[in-house]
Amino acid sequence: MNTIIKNITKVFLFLVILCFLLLNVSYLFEPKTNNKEAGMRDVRLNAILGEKDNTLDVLFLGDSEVFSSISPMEIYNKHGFTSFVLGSAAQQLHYTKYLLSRTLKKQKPKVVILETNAIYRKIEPTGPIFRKLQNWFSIFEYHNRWKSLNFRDLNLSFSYEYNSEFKGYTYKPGIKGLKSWNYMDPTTESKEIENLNKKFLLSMIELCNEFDIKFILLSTPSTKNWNYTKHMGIKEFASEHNITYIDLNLMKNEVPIDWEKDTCDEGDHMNYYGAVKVSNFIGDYLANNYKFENKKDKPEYKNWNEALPRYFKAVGKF
Amino acid sequence: MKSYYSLTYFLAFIPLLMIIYSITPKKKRWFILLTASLIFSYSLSGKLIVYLISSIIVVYLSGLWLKKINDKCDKATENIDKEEKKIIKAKYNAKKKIILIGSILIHVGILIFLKYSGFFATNINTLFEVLNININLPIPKFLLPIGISFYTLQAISYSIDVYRGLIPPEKHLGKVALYMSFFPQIMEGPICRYNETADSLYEGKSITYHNFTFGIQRIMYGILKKCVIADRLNPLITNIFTNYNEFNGGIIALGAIAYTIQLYMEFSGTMDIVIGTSEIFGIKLTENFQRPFASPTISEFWKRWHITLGSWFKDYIFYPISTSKPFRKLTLILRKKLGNYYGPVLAGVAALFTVWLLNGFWHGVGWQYILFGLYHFCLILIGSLISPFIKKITDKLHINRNSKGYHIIQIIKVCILVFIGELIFRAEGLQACLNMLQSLFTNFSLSSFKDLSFLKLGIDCADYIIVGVTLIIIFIISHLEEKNINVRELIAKQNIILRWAIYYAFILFIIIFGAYGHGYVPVDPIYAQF
Amino acid sequence: MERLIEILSDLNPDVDYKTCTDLIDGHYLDSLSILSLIAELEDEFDVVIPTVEIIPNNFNSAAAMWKMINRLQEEE
Repeated sequence: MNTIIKNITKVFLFLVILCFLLLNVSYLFEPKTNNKEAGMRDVRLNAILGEKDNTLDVLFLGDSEVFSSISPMEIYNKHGFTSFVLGSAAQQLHYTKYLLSRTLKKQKPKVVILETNAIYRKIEPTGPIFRKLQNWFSIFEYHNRWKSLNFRDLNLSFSYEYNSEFKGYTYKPGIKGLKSWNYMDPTTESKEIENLNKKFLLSMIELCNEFDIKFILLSTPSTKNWNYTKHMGIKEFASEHNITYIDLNLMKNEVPIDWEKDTCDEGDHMNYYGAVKVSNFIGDYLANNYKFENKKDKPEYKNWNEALPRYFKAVGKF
Repeated sequence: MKSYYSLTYFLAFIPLLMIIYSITPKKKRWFILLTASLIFSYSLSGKLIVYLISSIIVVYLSGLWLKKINDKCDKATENIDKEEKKIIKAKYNAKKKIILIGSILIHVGILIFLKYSGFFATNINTLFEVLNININLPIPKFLLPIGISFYTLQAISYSIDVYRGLIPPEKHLGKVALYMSFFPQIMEGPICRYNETADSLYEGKSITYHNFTFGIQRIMYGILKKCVIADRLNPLITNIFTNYNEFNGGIIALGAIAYTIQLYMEFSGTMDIVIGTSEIFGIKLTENFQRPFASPTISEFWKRWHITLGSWFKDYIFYPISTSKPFRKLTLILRKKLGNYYGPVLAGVAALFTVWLLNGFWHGVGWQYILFGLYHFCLILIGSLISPFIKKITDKLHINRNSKGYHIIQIIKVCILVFIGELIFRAEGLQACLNMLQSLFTNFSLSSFKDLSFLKLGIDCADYIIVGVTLIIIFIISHLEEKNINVRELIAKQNIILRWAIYYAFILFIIIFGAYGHGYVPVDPIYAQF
Repeated sequence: MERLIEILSDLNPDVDYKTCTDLIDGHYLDSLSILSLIAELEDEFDVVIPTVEIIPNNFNSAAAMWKMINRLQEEE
C-alpha cells in the first residue's frame, strides 16, 4: 500500500511540475501584443483586446455570417454607441463561449447578440477539451511561434496595442448576386439543436444573466445557410427560454435585401451593401429598445472618433 | 475516436480503462479489455463491426470442430497397430483439411469481396473494352471495417496453428474474441500469433508503476515520431506526389526519401503507441520493427520492417509452398544438377513470387502495389543469385566484407533501393508511378537544391532543421538499441533530477515542435487503410 | 553433429556455428538458404522435415537443429 501511495504521489508531483513548466513556456510563446506580426491568431476579433476596459455597449458573436453582416462603425456613426463583432470563420460554440467569458472580464456590455448559424454547427467532441487546454496553456495554441520568437518575447511583457477601425467587421465590396431565390417556405418541421450545442448555448445565457446582460438571438440574411426548419428550431428554443429572437430572413420589409446586389457569394454572405442594411436595422432596433449614451463627443472615446474617418475611407465613403 | 492519435484516446479512453481495469478482480479483467476493444472498434467502424464479430465466431467454431475430430481420431486409433493407425489418421486429416480450408476461404472471401471487388470489376471492364465486348460490370464500392486486413491474417494464423497442432483450440469464446479484437493492435497490427499473446491478454496482470511509466515513455516516443516528423513532412510529400509533373528528378528523389521517412516514422511510431499502451496493462506484443535501415541486404530489411507481416507470409505462404511435395521432388532433382546453392532456388523463387504478389496485393487495391511487390521480389531474388559471385569478387579484390566501410556501403545501397520502392508505393496510381520513375532517372538534377527552391515546396528551412534534429535524436536512440543498450533502462538508472529533466525536455520538445493544431493537417494512419 | 556444422559452413562460412544461437533472429540465414539447408539435411540424415517444423526455434542454433534431426529420426 505504501509503495502505491508513494508512486501516485510521484506521478502527481511530476504532473504539477509539468503544469508549472507549461505555464511558463506559455508566457514565452504567447504573442506579446495583438497584431498579426506578433503572431496573434484571429486578429480580426482579437483586436478587441486593444479596446479600453468597459467601453463597449454591445457584443456580437457568431461565425462568418455575423462578421460579414454587422459593421459596428456604421452603428456608431448613426447612434453613437459602441459595439464589437467577435466572429470567426466556422466558429464552434465552445469557442464562442470562451470569447464571451474572456470579454466579460474587461467589458460591461448591455446587450449580447448571438448570430444563430453557429448554433447548428457540429462541435467536434474533442474541440472543447482542446479549447480548455489552450486556455490554460496557450503553448498549445501558439507552439508554432518557435519559428519567430524574438527579444520582446523574452521580456514577457504583454500590452495589447492593436486597434482596428473595423471592430471585427470584414469589408466585402464584391457583388455576386442571385438570379432567383426562394428559401424561407414555411413548414412545421423544426431542426433540432444538438445537446452539446444546447449546453454551450445555455451556459452563455446563464453567464449573461449573471452580469445582467440582455441576450438576443439574431439570424442574419443568408439564402445558403438559413431555412425555415432552422428558424423553427431556434424559435422554439427562444420561446422555451424566454429569449428575444430576431430573424431578418423573414423581415423583407424592415430589411429589404436585394439578393441580386447585396451578397458577395450568391447568397452565402452579405457584401458591404447588405451589411449596411443589416447594421442600420440592428442599430435602430437597439437604439429604440435600450438606452445607450452617445459617446461621440466624449474624450475617452477619442479612439473611436478618430477611427470613423479611417473606416469610411477604407470602405470608400468620405 | 478516429485513431490512436486523439485526445479522446489519451485523455479519456486510456485513463478510464486503467481505472476500471485496476478495480476489477484479476479474473474478470480480460472482460474489461474485451469490452474496451469492442467499444474502440465500434467507434472506428460503426456497424461494420459485424464483420469482425462474425470472423471471431468462425475462427472459434472451426477451432472447436478441429478439436472434436482430433479427439475422435485419438479414440479410433487407440490400441491399433502402426499401419492401420496411419490409414485412419489420413482419413481424419482429410476432414480436418476441409474445415481448415473452409475457415480460410470464409475469411479470405470476405476480405476479397469487400476490398477487391471494385478493383476486379474495373479491370474486367477495361479488358472487355479492349476486346470490344459490350458488357459493363457495375463497380461496387464497400466500406471496409478498420483493421480487416490485419485481423483476417490473425484469424488465418489461428486456424492453421490449430490445424497443425501447434496450439490447442481455445474453448473460451471470449479469449478468442480478445485475441482477434484487442484494441491497441486492431488498426495497424502487429499481427500477433495466438500462442504469443493470448495468455498474457487473458492473464489480467496488475498495472505496475514500472509498466505504467515504461508504457507512457514508449507512447511519447511514438508521438514524437508521428507529430514532429511524419506530420511535419506531410505538406512536402503531398505536394510532390500530387504535382509530380512539375518537378525534376532531384525533387522526386527528395519526395521518395521524405515519404520513406514519413512512412517509417508514422508506422513505427504507431507501433510504439500500440506496444506502449499494451505494456501499461502488462501485455507484451510482438515487435514490428527492428531498425530496418541498419540492414545490409533487402532480404534482411524485410525481416526488420513490418516483421509480423513478413513472418506471417514466411510461415503460412513461403514454406508451405516451397516445401510442398511437388517442389520437394523438383528440388531433389535440381540439386543433383545445379549443386546445393542453386538447387532449391526454383522452389524458392516460386514461393517467393507468390509471397510478394500477395504482399503487394495485401497492401492495397491498385497496380502500383503489385508493381511494388514484384520490385522487391526481384531485388531479393537478384540479391540471392549474385551473392556467391559477390563473395568471389570481394575475395579476389581483398575487400573485407566484415569491415565497417563495406557495411556502410551496403546499408546505403539498401536505403536507395527502399526509397525507390516506397516511391512506387506512394505514387497515385500506376501512370503517376511510371512518370515519376522516368523523371527520376532521365531528368535528375540538383538545380532545385542550388537555387533553394526546395525550401518553398510546403515546408520551410526551419521545418527541415527541426526534422533533421529529431532524426538525429532518433538515430542515436536506434544506434544504442542496435548495440543492445536499453535506453529506457539507462534513463531509469539516472538520479531523479536528471531523469525528470530528460522527461520534461522530451515532452516540451513534442509540444513545441509537434506539427499539430492551427495550420496543420495530420497524416491519416497510413497502414490502417490497408 | 560435426557433419551438420560442415553443411552449415558451406552455406555461410562467416559464422561460428558452435556458439551462435540466433542464426534466424540474427539474420545469418535467409529463407532461401534455409531451403538449401533443409534439402541438404533431408538428404544427409535421411529424414523428412515437415513444414510445421520450420520455425526459428528449431533453426536458431546448430544444437537445436541437431535435436530436431534426432527427434525426427526417432519418430520415423
